[in-house]
Amino acid sequence: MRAFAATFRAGFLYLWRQPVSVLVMTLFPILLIFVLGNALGALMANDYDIEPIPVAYLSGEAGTPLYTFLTDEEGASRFIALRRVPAEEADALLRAGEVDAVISEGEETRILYGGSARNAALVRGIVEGYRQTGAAAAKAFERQPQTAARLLLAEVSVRTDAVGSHIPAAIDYYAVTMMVMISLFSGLSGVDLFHKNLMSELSIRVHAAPVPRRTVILGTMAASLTVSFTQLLITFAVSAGVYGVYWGGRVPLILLTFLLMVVFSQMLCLTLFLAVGSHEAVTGITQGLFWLLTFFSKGYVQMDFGAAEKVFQYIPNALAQTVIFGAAYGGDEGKMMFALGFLLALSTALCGLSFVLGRRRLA
Amino acid sequence: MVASMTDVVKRYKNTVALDHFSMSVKKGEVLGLLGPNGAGKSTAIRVLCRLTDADAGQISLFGAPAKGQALAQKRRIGLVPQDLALYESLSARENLHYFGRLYDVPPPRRRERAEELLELLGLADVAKKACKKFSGGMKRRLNIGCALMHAPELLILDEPTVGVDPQSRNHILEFVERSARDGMTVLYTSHYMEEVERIATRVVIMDAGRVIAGGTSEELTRQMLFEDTLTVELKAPAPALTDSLKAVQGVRQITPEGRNLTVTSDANAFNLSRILELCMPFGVTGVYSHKPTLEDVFLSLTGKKLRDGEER
Repeated sequence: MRAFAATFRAGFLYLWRQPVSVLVMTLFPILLIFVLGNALGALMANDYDIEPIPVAYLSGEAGTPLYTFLTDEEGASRFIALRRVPAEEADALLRAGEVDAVISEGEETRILYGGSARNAALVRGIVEGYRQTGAAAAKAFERQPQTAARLLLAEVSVRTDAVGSHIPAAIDYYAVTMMVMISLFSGLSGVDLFHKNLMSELSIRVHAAPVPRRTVILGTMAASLTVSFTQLLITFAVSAGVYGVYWGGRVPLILLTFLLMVVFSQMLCLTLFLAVGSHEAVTGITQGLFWLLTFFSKGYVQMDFGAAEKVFQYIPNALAQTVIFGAAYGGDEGKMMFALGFLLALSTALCGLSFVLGRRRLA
Repeated sequence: MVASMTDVVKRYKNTVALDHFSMSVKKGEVLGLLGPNGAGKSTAIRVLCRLTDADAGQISLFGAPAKGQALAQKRRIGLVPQDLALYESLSARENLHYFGRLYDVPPPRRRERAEELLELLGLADVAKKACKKFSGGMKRRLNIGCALMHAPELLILDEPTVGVDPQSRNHILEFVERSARDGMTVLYTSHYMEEVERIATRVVIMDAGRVIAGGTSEELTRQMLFEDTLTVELKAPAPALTDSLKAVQGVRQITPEGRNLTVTSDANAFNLSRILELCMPFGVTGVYSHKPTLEDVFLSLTGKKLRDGEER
């Protein structure tokens, strides 16, 4: 335990005292939230193929803006089983699962929804469109699919006030992708730490010490993960404080899951390595797991790589794109599975790489 | 026996780094492992420290076979790797404490030992400074200090003075000598024969992964010396002298070089007075002779110089 703590402390201080590391740790999440949120949000085409959902609405008369909005060509393509029902019947419909949402129109618009948060988000998109008038309404409606997609991914904007009214572009959407970025950084910083240690022959001396190799490796990993966790906290604070992203509900849990998954995958890799003692075997098993997860998540994820490439044609990060769109197009389970599968594959690959480097250096 | 390697073979793909290599380190001695770059010194150390497995052969540490990671045996060894092995962003004191923790040195002893080493290594004044700001010599000293935090029974130094200024080199050698005087067993590898001659009580010379000679410096030079070399400096070049010197008993070779005449004779030919007698008429301004060194031994055994592996 003492050796683990010592390695962890030394590794953490190493990262913490590197100016580049600190810069990346603090500035990286802030910049990426802003850049991705604004610039990439603007690049996104509204060509999502969102599944039409059943909705019902209360009160409101034919000819009102809400009615018109829900029944026009655009609305009809996205919503089915549009019905005007009394309040008591609406509850029954929701419970029976016949409709996914109920919109109430009065002096103050209220939304009563059931089903998934994804559908709730879509309904909120409707309300956003409904609230606008004239050209503004049309513009808002254009944004609706994007808004819905980012909401269903993040599940962060299910709140009582208007959707994203004071959030620039798609920052709330991309704040979530920050988790992916941080996870990537975690792997990279871990590898960097290993690499630096190996290059400086520190590992030779450390492995000459009476400490099991796994203790040293785990300590080093823990140090890089702590740095990543700091980034995570910064992301939370900045996105909420500066951009007004709402990180309530289950999101912290989801984000924590991401982080734990990275830890888990690194440990899995380590265990495999220690068990089989061969980086080739680890790579093979990792690939197998990745493909298994991909296959398993196919039932949930409706991927459209063509659209993904179109939107992200200027971004040389095909991996991040896969995660983002896998999550955006899939259901809750699909996005989680895909993202976790991706992270598992990536972090284990990075981990495997570090072992390869380590083995070569030590051999 | 503190450590021994018997018939150890280590291959890297097509390269044989250790070729039936055998060596032993006795308690309390300073064993110098001498060899040119690429001779296999570092590989021998890595195998001995259980950093890598040997393909064949037996390794024993502190009287017991070294198997697996040999954690208990590692606890009794201090390794100073060839290159700097320090956390650059940590201070000298933090580095010492880090390695103290790795070796499970109890906190009070760790603090005491760290301060003691900082003082001994001349780093007490810069103990709080990040070691990336240190000079090369200071880093080298700290590099050694980290290996001594747990007061090992066997200290292994893998070319610890490479790239170090003469002052720091002297400091390091003095420090090793002091450790040896305190009863520590030392395995010191180098391709600087002067260092090994200075500190080693016994020397093992290796080349191409094999041991080619072993013994004390004196034994090695005595056993393997086949010739004496004498250089006579004359007032002016004297070509005529060459023939008369060749006739002297035991003389094997005359090498004129300007005013200098280098005479190579069989060992123990006892012909110095006769050579000088013949030279005197030509005006002798100086006579130089040098004792055989390990460099000469290595040269005569392998036909290569210790440094850079130059061919004779």
